[in-house]
Amino acid sequence: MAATVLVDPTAAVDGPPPPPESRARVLLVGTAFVTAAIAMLFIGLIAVYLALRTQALVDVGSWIPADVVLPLTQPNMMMLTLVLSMFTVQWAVSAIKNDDRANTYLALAVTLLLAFSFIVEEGYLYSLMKLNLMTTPPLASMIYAITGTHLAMIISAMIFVMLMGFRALAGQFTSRQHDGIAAAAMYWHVMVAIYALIWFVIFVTK
Amino acid sequence: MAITETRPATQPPADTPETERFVGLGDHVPGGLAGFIGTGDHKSLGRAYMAASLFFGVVGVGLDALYRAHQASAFLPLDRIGQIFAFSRIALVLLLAVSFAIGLATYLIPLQVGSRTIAFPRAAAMAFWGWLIGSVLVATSFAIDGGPSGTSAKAVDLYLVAFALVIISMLLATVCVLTTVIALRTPGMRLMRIPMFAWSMVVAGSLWLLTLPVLLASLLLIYVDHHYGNGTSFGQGQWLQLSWAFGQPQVYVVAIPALGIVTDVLATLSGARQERRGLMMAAIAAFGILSFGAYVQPVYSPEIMNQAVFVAMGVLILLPFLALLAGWITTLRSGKPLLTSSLLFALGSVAVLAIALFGGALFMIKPLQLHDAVWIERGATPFADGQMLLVVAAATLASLGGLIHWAPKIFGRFAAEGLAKLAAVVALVGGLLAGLPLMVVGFSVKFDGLTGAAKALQGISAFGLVLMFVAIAAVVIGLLTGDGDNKPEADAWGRGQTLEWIAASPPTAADFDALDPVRSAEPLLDINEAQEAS
Repeated sequence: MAATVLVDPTAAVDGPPPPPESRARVLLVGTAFVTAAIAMLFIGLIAVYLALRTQALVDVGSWIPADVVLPLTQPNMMMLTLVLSMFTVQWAVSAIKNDDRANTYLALAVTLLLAFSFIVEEGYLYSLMKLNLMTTPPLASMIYAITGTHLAMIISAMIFVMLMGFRALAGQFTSRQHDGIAAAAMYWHVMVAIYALIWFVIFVTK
Repeated sequence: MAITETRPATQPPADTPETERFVGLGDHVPGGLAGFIGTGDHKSLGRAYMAASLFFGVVGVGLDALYRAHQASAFLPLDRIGQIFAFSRIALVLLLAVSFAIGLATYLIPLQVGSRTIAFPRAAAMAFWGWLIGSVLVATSFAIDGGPSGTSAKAVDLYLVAFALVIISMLLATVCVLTTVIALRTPGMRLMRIPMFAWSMVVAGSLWLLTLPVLLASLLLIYVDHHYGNGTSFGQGQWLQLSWAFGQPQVYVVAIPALGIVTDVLATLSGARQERRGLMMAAIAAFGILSFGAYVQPVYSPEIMNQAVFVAMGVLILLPFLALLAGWITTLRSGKPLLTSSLLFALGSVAVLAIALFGGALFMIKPLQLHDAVWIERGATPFADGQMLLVVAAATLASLGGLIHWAPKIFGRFAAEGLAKLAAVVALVGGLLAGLPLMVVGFSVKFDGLTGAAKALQGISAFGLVLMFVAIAAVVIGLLTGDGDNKPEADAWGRGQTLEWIAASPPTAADFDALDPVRSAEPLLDINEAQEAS
């Protein structure tokens, strides 16, 4: 028998009540503005770092004192950890788009695990560098300000992902409405991009 | 038989007012102080923002008058001069000009774009309380020997943390306002159809989001060095690292909302549609782009003020302003403007801003030595100070004009019109007297004869600031003593064009009843014209 299709949206139909009025994209738009502001914060910090480094190289011929070590192996691992987390957070977005809730939870959990690893790696890096704020200003002030602020941003991204994970557990996200997960992923990607800049400017080019 | 049902159309929410639903309070909305502290209602937050920013503004104007009077006739203790100077700048630029615009936008923009709520109301509430607490702590830190030139280490730390809190809160409030405009517009209201004040806030807010974090970065570096280090790198010369935020071209960002307020006030009071609206919007956007000043960091780049980009921006910014001026004149000529106090405030704002921008172009002429090294040696920059005061005066005039223009919407009453008109004249004279004499002092390196008159000119500037103080107080009194018996209609001036004039005066908790889709930038004129045609 041929299917009967009701195409008139105003026609009365029995069934579930209509969904509430959608306020889609608000969280995505708000997150985009917040990430823009955070990006400018780091651009400001790194611009000062580059200006002082250039000036020091011109004035005294060196920027990093002889007794300070800025290793590259640990920052490389940290960069790799965050790059992996970009894939896992995007995995969560892809999973929720397909209503695959189990994979969404798994992807968010792995993302948080990678972020926790990053925090541990950062702590280890600090112990290796042995930067002294009293004896090596402004290098020490700048490196602690930049990497410390980034660490705080990574923790804020973890809180964002956790909150969206709880909302996903509460069934608030579906393939039709998953702005929260997408917004958290966008925030995450920008935090990783900022670390890429820090990694390149401070640890690679020294 | 298989039946494929079309998804039911979305329905308007149940009877609960939208404001309450978005605040998340459901049916239980506490009243009194608890209700105020916990509110996410954009109207309550907007009123509180405006009241608090006017208070800080009055304090800033008063302190700057003291500073100018001291320059004319030294009477203040020397160890307090730097603190009074720094706090008056923070108060005038950030706590008055920018914060008042955020407050007005928080109140008005949801009404203008027909959204019934501000985006992220809890975040907006957190932003307000963070801003208020931060501002009070900044003032407290200055009072206990903090600030950029303070000698108490703990008080300086408090100042740095509190100032950072103020900036973060302002950024959060800006995100709420911008998201409201971008994502919560009523059906049919395309971005090109939003009211000009809303557009000016999109431009200004974007600039604040791009520049205030750079100021935050400077504060962060100073704090780390001062609190954890020995304070020998960023802890030295703190004000010099922050001064770019209070000078050209960055200071122009505080005037961007004024452009929108003036455009809306003139169009409404003229009763005419704004012609060449797209060009006006482009001019405001260009003004915003040319106001970007986060790169002007003389501490790290001493020659920045002689570079081509800085010079070009200072001169080119006159072009979008002239385009706006042409648009405003066209609007006034195509209608029959009501001569209200808000019109006087708007015209005064335009006049003061024109002089400030012209002064900014003069600032770029190197032979005049207006930003010469001599001034740095003297530890003063009178021309730049005068120009900053003119820009702040222009923003304040527009803000006060906007407050009076939208008073029926904000307070449910008209301001006392006679007092408000007097205040407009006093504010205009005060703004000019506050800024122009200092700009004249700036020429004293080039013209030796002016050196002897410097003290008298500083005294005139102090008098101008006192007049500004009086004008702000007069507007507040005018609003408090307004005609409470004459309840304004929804379209209070009878010439409303944009959606806020559909809402009751003052609006109900839910702001609007059902809104029809918007079909132009002036939906009320569309309705009136349709009614006349039928």
